[in-house]
Amino acid sequence: MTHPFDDKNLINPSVLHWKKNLSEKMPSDWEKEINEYETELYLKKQGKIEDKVFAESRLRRGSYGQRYDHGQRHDGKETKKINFPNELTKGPMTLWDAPGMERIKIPYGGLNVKQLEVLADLGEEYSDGILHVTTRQDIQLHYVHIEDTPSLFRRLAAVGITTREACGNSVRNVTGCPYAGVCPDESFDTTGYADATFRFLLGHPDVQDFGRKFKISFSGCKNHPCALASMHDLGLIAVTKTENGKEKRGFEYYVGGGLGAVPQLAKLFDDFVPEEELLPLTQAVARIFARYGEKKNRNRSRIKFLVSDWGIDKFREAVLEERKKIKPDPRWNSFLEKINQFDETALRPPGEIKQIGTPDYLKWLQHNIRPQRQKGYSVVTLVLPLGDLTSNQARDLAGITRKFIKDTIRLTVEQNLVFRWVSNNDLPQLYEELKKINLAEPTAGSIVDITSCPGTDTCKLGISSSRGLSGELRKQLAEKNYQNDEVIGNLRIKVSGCFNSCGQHHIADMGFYGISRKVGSYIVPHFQLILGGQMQENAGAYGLPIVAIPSKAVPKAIERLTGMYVSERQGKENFQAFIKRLGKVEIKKRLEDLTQVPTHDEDPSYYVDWSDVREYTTSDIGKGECAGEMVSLVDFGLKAADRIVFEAQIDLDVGKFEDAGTKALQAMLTAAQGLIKDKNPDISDKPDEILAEFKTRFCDTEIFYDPFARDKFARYLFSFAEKGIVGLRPEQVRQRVEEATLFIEAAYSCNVRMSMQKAV
Amino acid sequence: MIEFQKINWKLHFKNPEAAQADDFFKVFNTWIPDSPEIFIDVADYQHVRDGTITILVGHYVDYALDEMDRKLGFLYSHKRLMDGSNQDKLQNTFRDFLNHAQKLLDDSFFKGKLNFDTAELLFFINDRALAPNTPQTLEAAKPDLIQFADKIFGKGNYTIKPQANSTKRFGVLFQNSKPISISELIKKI
Repeated sequence: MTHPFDDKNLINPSVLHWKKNLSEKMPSDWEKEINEYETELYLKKQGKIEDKVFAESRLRRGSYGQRYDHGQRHDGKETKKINFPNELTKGPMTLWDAPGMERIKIPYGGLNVKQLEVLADLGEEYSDGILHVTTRQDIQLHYVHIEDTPSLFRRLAAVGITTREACGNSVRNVTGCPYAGVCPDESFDTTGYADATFRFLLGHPDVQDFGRKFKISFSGCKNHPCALASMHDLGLIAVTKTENGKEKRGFEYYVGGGLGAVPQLAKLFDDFVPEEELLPLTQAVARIFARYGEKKNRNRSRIKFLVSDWGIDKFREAVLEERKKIKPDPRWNSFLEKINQFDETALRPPGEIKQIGTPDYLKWLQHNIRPQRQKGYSVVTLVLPLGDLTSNQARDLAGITRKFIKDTIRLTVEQNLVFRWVSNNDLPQLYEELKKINLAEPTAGSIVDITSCPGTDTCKLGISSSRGLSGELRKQLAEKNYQNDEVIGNLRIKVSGCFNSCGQHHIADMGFYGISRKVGSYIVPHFQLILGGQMQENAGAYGLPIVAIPSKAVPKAIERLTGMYVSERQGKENFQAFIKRLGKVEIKKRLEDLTQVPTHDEDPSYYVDWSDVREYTTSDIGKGECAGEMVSLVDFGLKAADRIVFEAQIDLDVGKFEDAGTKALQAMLTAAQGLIKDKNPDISDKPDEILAEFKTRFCDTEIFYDPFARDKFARYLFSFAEKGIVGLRPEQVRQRVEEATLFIEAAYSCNVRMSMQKAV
Repeated sequence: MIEFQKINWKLHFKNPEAAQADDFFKVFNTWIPDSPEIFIDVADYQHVRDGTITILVGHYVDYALDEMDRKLGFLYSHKRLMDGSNQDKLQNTFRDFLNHAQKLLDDSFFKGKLNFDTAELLFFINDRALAPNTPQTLEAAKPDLIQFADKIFGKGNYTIKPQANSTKRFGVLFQNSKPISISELIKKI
């Protein structure tokens, strides 16, 4: 049925407004990228770009698929089609009109007030009014329509935020310790290094051809769990050493860590990489990963598999060899001169903490306040339930920030938010203001402060309702006042909706990940229980799977486990040691009764997941986009050429002949460069080099040789490049644009022939 | 003159205690199967405050139990581009909103306990490009809003109060001196 407000043919005036008004408020290369993406969006809508190519393109900008975007939903009885207005797709099995998730990278979690306000507005205008903080310090908006993404990107870019490479096979958000610069235990402030790494790798040619994603994290110390370096593809821990009486900064450099279905702790690559070697060495690691990392089997494409297959010694040797070959880049060290620009200061004078106030305030002081290295100041943690914050709260928070601190907000890997540089004198007043907007929950870092991925709420891969379970646990545990219990109050619970570990279940005291079990003719939601993980020492140990528990029995399982710990621990034995002593077999035995599922007649509630009313099914699970689409560098080059020639056609239509001619030539060179990348990924952007290499690799070898037109299309390129655009009449420009279009078509055909030959 | 898009309407409950998030979650789920509207899912946010509590997400329109400004109510959010005059858009969206408000009142799940406070009606344009929250937007929007409010509340029976906080989206509060039932309002559209 057609809705009365069918919007198929309407032009959105809002899009035009942001494009026009924000053009000069963002870096020109960011603007160019957003304009290019918008053109691709337009071309895709016209069916001129392949599904998988556009999917990778949007994924690299953080525009992710979301549950039900394949156009069907189970209503508890049967799977029903969602009647979106058109059948157009924006990626394999992903309908155009189905809203998706937008992941917004917040490097090292650092936010300023203006950014917070813009995020609040975007959440309200394009999403459902909720900002969701992830375990990697991103912010995610859900239910975003693809047509809204260019405006969303522009509004973010205007305040210094990019979504580029927030997803796909790329370097994801560079995370960092939220206490960097203020932590009493850190070696030094890692903020500037995390920022430089983010900027250096963003869009870098050496990180465009990965088989899978690549995650980097910076920690200021070895012991605390604030950045979780050991579970990252690249984990960096700040260390110093004294050389010739002078303190030198560097990093303990770890590679090949990761969670997911096959968790691995990162291996030590070097115990001291000096600060000036941080970027070049990381570039070498990226090149080795791009060149030798698995590309065909996604399940083995993360760098951890390469490190594991080769062994750390061989991997190190290859990286150091590669390091020698890389041409020096001034950006490797230029950031060091400005490293102090990240030093923060306070808005208000220092003060003393006074342990006076209501019981709730005192609990808040106990759980949520952490003294800074700088005397008289504290870091305040704002607990965001399940990582969520409403747009209205975010806006109010911006106002509160202005009152008490400068732009010193950070998101945490535990899905919370911290205020840094709060004067101790201001704590009572800040508490009152946060309380008014429901952000003064005194449970930070406690058993109630549960980490959870989105799970079946919005994720295509979710098996069980991680957020539903976490919400229920929060409620039940808080009612029992567990967070204030001396023994179990600080135990940590983390929940993932599936084995992929976005909720980081491996490193919790009690971790859970979603699974399903067949019981009679029904499928029942379950969670696999993982015990004994460790967040301390940068996620120093992973827990072990114990037993599958029906979702509805998980609260009872937690009650039992915590009860056992309280009554049976020996002396000051910690939870990990207790679990180890008791042993997997014994624990499983003690939970055995909870694993039993009553029949449907006895208790139908077991057959409905938390935070749902439908009978449970796994039929809503879709194909995940987390792995991104495997698109080669050639595909990317050809797509870029397509876009440029399209822009040339637009210039022609509006009489910008010189621009049209320039773009036509650029499009041909881009297509040629794309093809060359199949043989030489390091081909430069210089036209002379592209032409020379295209001639030797493709023309002389007759690879770029049409069966009928022979070398005709190649001659278009060489002739155009030789004569240039100067003095061309409008009709000649038109002809060049047409030739460029034909050349790109020929490049596509050439790519198909090459692929077929490879397959043979 | 400004162009109205992304229109939102909200009515508060007279008895917020009757509007439980779990109940709305269940009821919204019953709206999805076989609906002529394009609904995608129901999202549960009852752990947060001052915003969306439970939301039925649609392709064109979202319906939510909402606690913006700490006042619980039923929020209608049109999300896609609309064609026609501003009066057409106001009329179509308001009719749609009221029909769904009535659907809630009629739902046996609430056992007749829900009650809307029609003395206050909130209107928003959720688009800061078209309608920044400024006095100029208010002046430009007023003629259309007055024409519309005259029709539904009657001339002289209401006041229009703008959303004071300029960081928030553009919105106005219609305060109606003669409370009127949802079914009567529907008849006026």
